[in-house]
Amino acid sequence: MLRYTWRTFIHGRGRVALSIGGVALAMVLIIVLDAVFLGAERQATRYIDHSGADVIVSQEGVRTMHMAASTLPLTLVGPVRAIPGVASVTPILFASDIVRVGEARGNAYVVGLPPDAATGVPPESSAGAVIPGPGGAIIDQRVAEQANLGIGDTVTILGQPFRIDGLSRGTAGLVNSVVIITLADFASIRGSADSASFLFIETASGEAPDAVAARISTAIDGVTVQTRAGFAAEERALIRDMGANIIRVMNLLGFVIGLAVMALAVYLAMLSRQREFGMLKALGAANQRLYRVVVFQALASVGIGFVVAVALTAGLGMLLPRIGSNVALVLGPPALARALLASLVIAGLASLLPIRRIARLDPAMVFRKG
Amino acid sequence: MWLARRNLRHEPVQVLLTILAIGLSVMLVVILLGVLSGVRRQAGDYLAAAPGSIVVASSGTENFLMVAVPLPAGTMDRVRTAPGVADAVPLLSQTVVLHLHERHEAAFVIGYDPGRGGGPRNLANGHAPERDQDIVLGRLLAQRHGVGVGDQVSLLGRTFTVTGLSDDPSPLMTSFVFISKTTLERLLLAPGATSVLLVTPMEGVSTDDLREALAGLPGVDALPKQRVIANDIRLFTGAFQPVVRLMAGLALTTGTLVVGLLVYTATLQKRREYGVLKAVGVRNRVLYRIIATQSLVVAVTGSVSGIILAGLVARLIMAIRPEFFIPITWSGTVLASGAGIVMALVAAVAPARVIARLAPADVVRG
Repeated sequence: MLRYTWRTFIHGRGRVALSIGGVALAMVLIIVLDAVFLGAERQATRYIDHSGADVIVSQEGVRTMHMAASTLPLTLVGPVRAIPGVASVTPILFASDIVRVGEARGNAYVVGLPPDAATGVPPESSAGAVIPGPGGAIIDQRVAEQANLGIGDTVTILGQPFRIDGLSRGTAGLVNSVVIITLADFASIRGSADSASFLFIETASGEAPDAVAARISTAIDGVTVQTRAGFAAEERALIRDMGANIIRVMNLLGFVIGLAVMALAVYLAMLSRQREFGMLKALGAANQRLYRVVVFQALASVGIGFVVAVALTAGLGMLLPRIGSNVALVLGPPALARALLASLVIAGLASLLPIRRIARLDPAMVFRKG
Repeated sequence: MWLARRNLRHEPVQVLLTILAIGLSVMLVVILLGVLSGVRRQAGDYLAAAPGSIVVASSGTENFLMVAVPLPAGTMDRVRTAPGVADAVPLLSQTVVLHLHERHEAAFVIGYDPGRGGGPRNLANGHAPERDQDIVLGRLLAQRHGVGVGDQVSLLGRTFTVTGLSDDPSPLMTSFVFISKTTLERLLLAPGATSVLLVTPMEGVSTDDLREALAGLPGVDALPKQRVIANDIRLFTGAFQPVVRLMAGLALTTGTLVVGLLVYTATLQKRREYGVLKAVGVRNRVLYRIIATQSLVVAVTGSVSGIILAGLVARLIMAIRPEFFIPITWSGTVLASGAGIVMALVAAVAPARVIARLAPADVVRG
């Protein structure tokens, strides 16, 4: 019976391809937004993940860079540096700004770094300097390419013209990119010579970041101290929380579309095999057996559709950066598990309509001309 | 064309399912475009209703919602004493993340001078900030966390008392929060800082003339408020647009495959009839027209259903999740209808190939 079911399922390649294509795309609709947000989470924390800072100190109550502002007096650098287990302290200035690169304007994390910064440099350099000189900036390679700009060209950051001193890689995302200028330039433009936004701390060899963070927290008042991992987790949680409602609504719409497409595909598959089902009934096959055929075909469509959907999303994830898009798609196990569960529910529900029709199927129809 | 209609009437359940699937795909596209349109309106709403017609910001700043550099010291006095200026409202704005019930809520804090304006316009409850520790939250944000007037919230390490809830719209995924400007200056360790001045010209003074005069002040740009609003809208939609395009493209391709599946199956089911027609000399062109008509009827009906469905679902979403503003726009419905017709024509390609390959002799075979 299984062999028969499979053979009837794959018979008619055009119909099977259209049906699986429809089901797969409906499933892509269910998983793609999750993938977009997971991709945005990874992009958003890439700078922090590779900053080299083991512990990050910010203004009390500030736990993220995204959508946040933090102000700390520069006088904190000395006392923090003196805490046991602290190897280096890099004060950075930070602001979200609209950066003008050629004709394009994009949201950017602007980071001001001291010339001797031990941490906070971009994770990967593709050309030029790693830390800019006075009046210079490091911008993301993709952002520069999109505007046809290169080393030596001018961009506008914090409302002022800057020379591109270097290009970084992997620092542009859906929401923003990372731009590095000198701490002195940043402070002079903002008029904040005696303050920093964050302190990036490198711990001494053999020191656990948690322990050092706890020591700083105890010693210094009015600050929030987090390990790099904790800070990055907060950034990811912020993006997740911001997108949660949209994801829920879109997932529901994707689920309903998937259900309708799946129901149609299973129903059409059954319809095109109606005469064969009638023949099987005439030969004495019980309804239960035919139901199993329908359910198997629904599960097969959903199973293959799911695999194709995952492959399509992964393929899209590889294609998008190559065509200059900043959308990164990352498939996470929880989202895939949710989609798979939804698919199984869809397959079960989609089988109901053909099962009713089979129950009412008259075996005599097979002998009629049709 | 009666043959096309007959073919469609032959299997009403499959036609209905197809119309439903297309309708849902079109609905998703219309809703996505509606969300984008809502984001546009919400992004500019606060500034549009705020006083003044000119925005004075630090040189190179083109937005209001993301101002990174404060105005040079002394700008406020220079603008207020400039000829032709009736009023200049100072605002200090900053993006922040509120931590409420273990959730992160992104917000724009507007620090304003209660005596000069720029605060919440539509207070649903309570009153505007009067003291340093007073704060007004967006009503939807407060509702999500069960916060009411008199409750306390923490912002940048300091505790505030909620004195009012505002009904002012805010950009999707964010909220507006209002406190006094001097308090925000202290929180940001930036005494006297001002992000922008909203300038109202005196009666009889044109906005453009005053703008030109103010542009000569050191370290500032004077921009028409409408242009700043347009820049804010671009900033917000910039992040959404690629995602909306991606999802709309997927929804339309799904719809196309669904129409294709229906018409393809219907064509295979009627293979014999098409063979007979070919055998009696009916040309392929006529048969293509039958298939295209079937596709069009289903796609147009599906598109219209999708647009109606989108209106209903958008209302439902806004009722359940009031932070969404999803206007169903003419441009969105026209675009989705056009996409429906394109879907129909593309979907007719595979069945047309079946017809083209069909040999009239097939009709006499079993």
